[in-house]
Amino acid sequence: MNNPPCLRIFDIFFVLFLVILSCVWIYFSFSTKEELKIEILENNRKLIVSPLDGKSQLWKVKNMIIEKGPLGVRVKESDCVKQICRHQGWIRSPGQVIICIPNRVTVRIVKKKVPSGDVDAISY
Amino acid sequence: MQSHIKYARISAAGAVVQSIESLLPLPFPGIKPGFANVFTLVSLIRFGKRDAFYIGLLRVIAGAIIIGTIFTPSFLMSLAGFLVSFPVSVFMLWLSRFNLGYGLVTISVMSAIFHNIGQLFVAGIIIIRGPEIFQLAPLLMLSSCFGGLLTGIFSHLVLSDLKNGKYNYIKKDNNDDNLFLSQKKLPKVITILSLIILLVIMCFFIIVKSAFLLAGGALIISFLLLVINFKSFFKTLKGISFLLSIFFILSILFYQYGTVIFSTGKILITKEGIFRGILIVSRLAGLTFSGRLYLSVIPVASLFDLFGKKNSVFISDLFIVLNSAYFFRNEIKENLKKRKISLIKFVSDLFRD
Repeated sequence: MNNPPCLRIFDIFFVLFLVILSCVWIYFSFSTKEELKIEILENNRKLIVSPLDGKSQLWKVKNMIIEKGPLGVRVKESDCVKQICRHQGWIRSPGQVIICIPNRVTVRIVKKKVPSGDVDAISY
Repeated sequence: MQSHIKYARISAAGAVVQSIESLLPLPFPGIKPGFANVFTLVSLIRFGKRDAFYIGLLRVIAGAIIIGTIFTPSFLMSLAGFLVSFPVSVFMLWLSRFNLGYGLVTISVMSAIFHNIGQLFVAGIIIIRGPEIFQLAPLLMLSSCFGGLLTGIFSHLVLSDLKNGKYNYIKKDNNDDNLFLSQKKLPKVITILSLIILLVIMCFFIIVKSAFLLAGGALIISFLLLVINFKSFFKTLKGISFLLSIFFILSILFYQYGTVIFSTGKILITKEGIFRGILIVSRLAGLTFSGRLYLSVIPVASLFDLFGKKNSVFISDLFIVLNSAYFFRNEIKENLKKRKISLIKFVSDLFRD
């Protein structure tokens, strides 16, 4: 069989196209963050669902004031005795929760999609 | 039979390249330059698809045995990558007959991309069991573009060097080939027994990682029992000493975890790294020895009754591949000293008749 030629114009365009395509793909797949949501539950019942987008907002739930801000979400004021929920401060990453047991209020951050990125690296 | 020795040599070179690549540190998992594909691509063009498939399969299995990942998920991944990418490159080569305006680079880039696709599917199904692994897809695509470009250019250089019919470095008459060919048939029982003994020894080298001393002892005892000329075996070791030192140095340099023994700035030399280097080197030496032992004890003809002709040729080829002394030989070392060696000319030598 005759040897096929090494490089032709089509090859150069093909490789360039693939490089650009994969660069664009990388840019979009790594620049879009997964959307996080704040869920506020009372007695295991969802009261408020809001995206964690850095805007400031206040909610009044029972006797508590819950604040959303650029740092995440926190309990600003509460009438409970030990004030554990207030001392916990801002939470911002998925999986974190603030629980106020006297008020039976849970504030948690969840991912919108199926959880991904659990795998840091694979090595053998 | 002669052609099979040639094929085994080509896959030995491929397996060595594959295993050296797997020792190099890389920023993301699964990204490799993939130079071992040169051997599959050139043999596909030169020998046709059946023989190229044979060579590639041998290379994947032998490379996994050398690195010690055989029957692990990463072996399955590389096997799947090969099985997916090979038909694609055959198809692309067939299409290139119609003068569609693309060359070797496109073939090798497509083959690299489909290699990654096969690997990702196996990883997604068997290892991670979820779609998360496909986040790596664009990175792998970018790397396979560059790897495929380099591989395509390299195989083109090899193919154009093959057009002149002379050998560059390797001398054609070699005693090792005669050792392989001129042997009588053995009785069935002895063949089975010696195969079992050899397999046990090799399993020690491959699977039981810390028992290589034991396996080495077993190998030496079997040498003594079989009354084989020791000198020729040490010649084998001398032939691959260059390869062994490359493996040792690479595995120490790129293993930066564990108890530090000695450090110079950024490079750490660790206890675990040295252990890993010794492990890899002794495994390679042990496998070479057992391949050599096999070749001098069991003739291929006596395997015909047991496995059939095709399978027994495959098994013996695997052993020749493991006997990778074929790859680095004294002639090449001499040329290295004179700094005359060219990798392309050397690779193209493997493909000559």
